[in-house]
Amino acid sequence: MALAPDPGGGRCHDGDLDLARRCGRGDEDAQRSFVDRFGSLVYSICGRRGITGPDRDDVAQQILLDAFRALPRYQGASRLSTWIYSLSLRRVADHFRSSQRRDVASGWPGDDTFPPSPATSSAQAPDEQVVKAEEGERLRRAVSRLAEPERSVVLAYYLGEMSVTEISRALNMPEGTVKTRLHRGRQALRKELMVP
Amino acid sequence: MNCEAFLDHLYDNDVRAAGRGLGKLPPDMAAHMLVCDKCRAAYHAARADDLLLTRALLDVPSPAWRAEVLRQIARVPRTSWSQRIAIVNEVVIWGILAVAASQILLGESSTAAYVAAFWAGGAAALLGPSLAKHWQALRRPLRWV
Repeated sequence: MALAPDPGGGRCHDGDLDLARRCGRGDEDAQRSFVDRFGSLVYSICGRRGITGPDRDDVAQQILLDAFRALPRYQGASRLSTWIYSLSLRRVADHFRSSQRRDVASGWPGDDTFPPSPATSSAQAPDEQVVKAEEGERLRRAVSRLAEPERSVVLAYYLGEMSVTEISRALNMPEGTVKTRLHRGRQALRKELMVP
Repeated sequence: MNCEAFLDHLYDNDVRAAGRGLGKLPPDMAAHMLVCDKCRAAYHAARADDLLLTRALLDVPSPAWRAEVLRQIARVPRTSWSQRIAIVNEVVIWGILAVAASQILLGESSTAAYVAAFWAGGAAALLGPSLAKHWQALRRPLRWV
């Protein structure tokens, strides 16, 4: 996902807006591009927020479909990734709020139901894949142990690729606080992973 | 620029983009890094974390999942009601314009001429974007010639 400049207010994201419009017109290339660009994001948000197993596939699929159906309402005021990130967080919260989920393990980061390793690239040697998968798993567990709101800020910044301004708006906290939380989150991760 | 200001801008988008090789660091930050070891180390640590975390936190869903999403997306109706209304509006406007044009240019005043002109204008409104798209597609290979 490419990093776009900070929107800084009402800046229009033409590329994202064009993609949204083409998707709405039934352009299959645009639809594939939409799924490829945002499928991983939504799938990862579900995983990082503690939805596991078949539920993760179902919820991520439903969120991406909801986002696709909502594309005609996208006005280009923020990046599409930010828009989808915010939508995903709301849907994940709905998922945990629903009464059917109350009697099962929460799966929120920090408990033992945190998601398994991601799919690995076939271009790497098998032993390299194992090492990378282990490192990734270690890192994800470390993120899962971060306290709130540091975890939300870290995930929004690194996974959602949101800017400090966008996180500030989404989480309703001053930009200075976002930076402090981000810094603290990074320090905690480094301590957990024993990085100097 | 002092250390406090430098660290305050560490998470800005242009700084982040520079760390990914997608742009340049703001000149005042680049200048400060040359004279401050602590801030230079902080920048490199933030850059390393960005590269690592952005990649490591992203999971790739299975091809089956992707295929299923695409299949369901293909079943979503293409346009909303508001878009359909907009299309009807466009057809009507272009139809009326075509009737007016036929009146002015050809002096036609029969009902049949009105109807023909109206439908010709409406069809042009409907087919215009599609024709433009095909024209672009046709032109694409020609650029290589």
